[in-house]
Amino acid sequence: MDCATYIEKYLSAHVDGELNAAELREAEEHVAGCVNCRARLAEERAVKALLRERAAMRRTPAVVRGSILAALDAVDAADSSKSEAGWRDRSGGADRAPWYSIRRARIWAPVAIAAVAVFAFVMLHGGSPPPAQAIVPFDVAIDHYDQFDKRFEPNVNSATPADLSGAYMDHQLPGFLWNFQHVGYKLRGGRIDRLADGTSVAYTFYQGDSGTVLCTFMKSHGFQPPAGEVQEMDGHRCYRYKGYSVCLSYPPGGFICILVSHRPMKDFMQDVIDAEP
Amino acid sequence: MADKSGTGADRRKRFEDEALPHLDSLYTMAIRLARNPDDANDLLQETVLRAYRFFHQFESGTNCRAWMLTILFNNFRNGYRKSSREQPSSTSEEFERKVESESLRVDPAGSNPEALLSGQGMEGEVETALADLPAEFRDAILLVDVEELSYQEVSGVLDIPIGTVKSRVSRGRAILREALTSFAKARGIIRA
Repeated sequence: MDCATYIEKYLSAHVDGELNAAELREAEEHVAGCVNCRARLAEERAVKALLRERAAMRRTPAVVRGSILAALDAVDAADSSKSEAGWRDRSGGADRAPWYSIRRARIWAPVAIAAVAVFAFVMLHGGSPPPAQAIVPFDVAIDHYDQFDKRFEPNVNSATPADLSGAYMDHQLPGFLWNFQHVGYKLRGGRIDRLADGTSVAYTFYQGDSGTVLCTFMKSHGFQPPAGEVQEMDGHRCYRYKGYSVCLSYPPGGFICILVSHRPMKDFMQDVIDAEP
Repeated sequence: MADKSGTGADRRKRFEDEALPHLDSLYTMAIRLARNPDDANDLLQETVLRAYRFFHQFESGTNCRAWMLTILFNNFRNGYRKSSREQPSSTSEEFERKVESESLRVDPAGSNPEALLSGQGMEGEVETALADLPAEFRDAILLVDVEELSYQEVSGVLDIPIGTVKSRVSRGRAILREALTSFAKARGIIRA
């Protein structure tokens, strides 16, 4: 066998273990006696290894994975002809489901916009009284919002939303990011810190001309939505709390997401709707 | 009802155990194929739903990742190529000619596989080199080197003869070797 034949016909299959016994014998005989092809074989192996190790493997974003699981639930529900009840149960109840489907978010947009109109009506005519007692997760989010509003230093790679999302997932936090960039905010970056009980918390800070928004992810530890919301909209509960606009939702995985802003509630809610993925 | 061997709950459980662990592989491939996240998410979701509906056709004990990648590529060929992907055919002949000459060049003096392999931070270069590769070569290379499928399995996924798989892998890898070697030289990992 000459070098040209080896390189053209055998080399790749040799590296991939795709030669039959007779071919393998021929290939090894040639390589044993040819320093050039030995070098070439080593390079081919290096390229293969480099690809296997360095070609980017992406993680499916939580919101995508969630939407797919929800779609499978829907198939199950249709197949078992149990109507909707089955998959609603599995998604953790109506208060948790809406994080899921991308398509669903699109479909529900008009409903959400209608909800804003309802909300405006509620504001004008006096809704439920705002929560009177202290709500610990809200206080954590608000304290950090005030602090970050003065000075924010990311402590994880926040170069791109994908980097940030990856950093959160590496810490077993939701990799989901709101698209506040779509409504005029800039992603200032993210922080991962620890709460007093040792659990991780992720803060994502957005800054725009009209104001700032902080998104906080923390373990829910069974935290139930407090009463007194101004509006519930597609699984997001919005509160006026201590003079801030606060929006609470439940991403998959036993977390809560708390959005905080100084923006007036009506504007803030519109931003939240538009920032859905 | 699709799964004759058990109830819907059994099918779901089996699917979650055998198929869903490959979701990240499918997602990564969908992103590469569709080149924009919205299309990729749609492609991924359609693929998983289709796999779920036809899961009774999957032969237990065979490579589930290969089976799902076959569905992914089928979906892609049937619906996504027109809008979301560059057409490689105009440049592939040119590449074939280029590779023809390069793959025959033997250059032991400049050869340094260890240095190439240990090149730190080569992720960017690997991605750039892959992005520059005509899609038909890139797909074959990714399926063999990253997804670790056999030529036989790749032949099924891409719906091409096994000999074509072999030549695409060979040519694709030769182009990558050239590209990565020049990156490594430019960064001083390998002496020029």
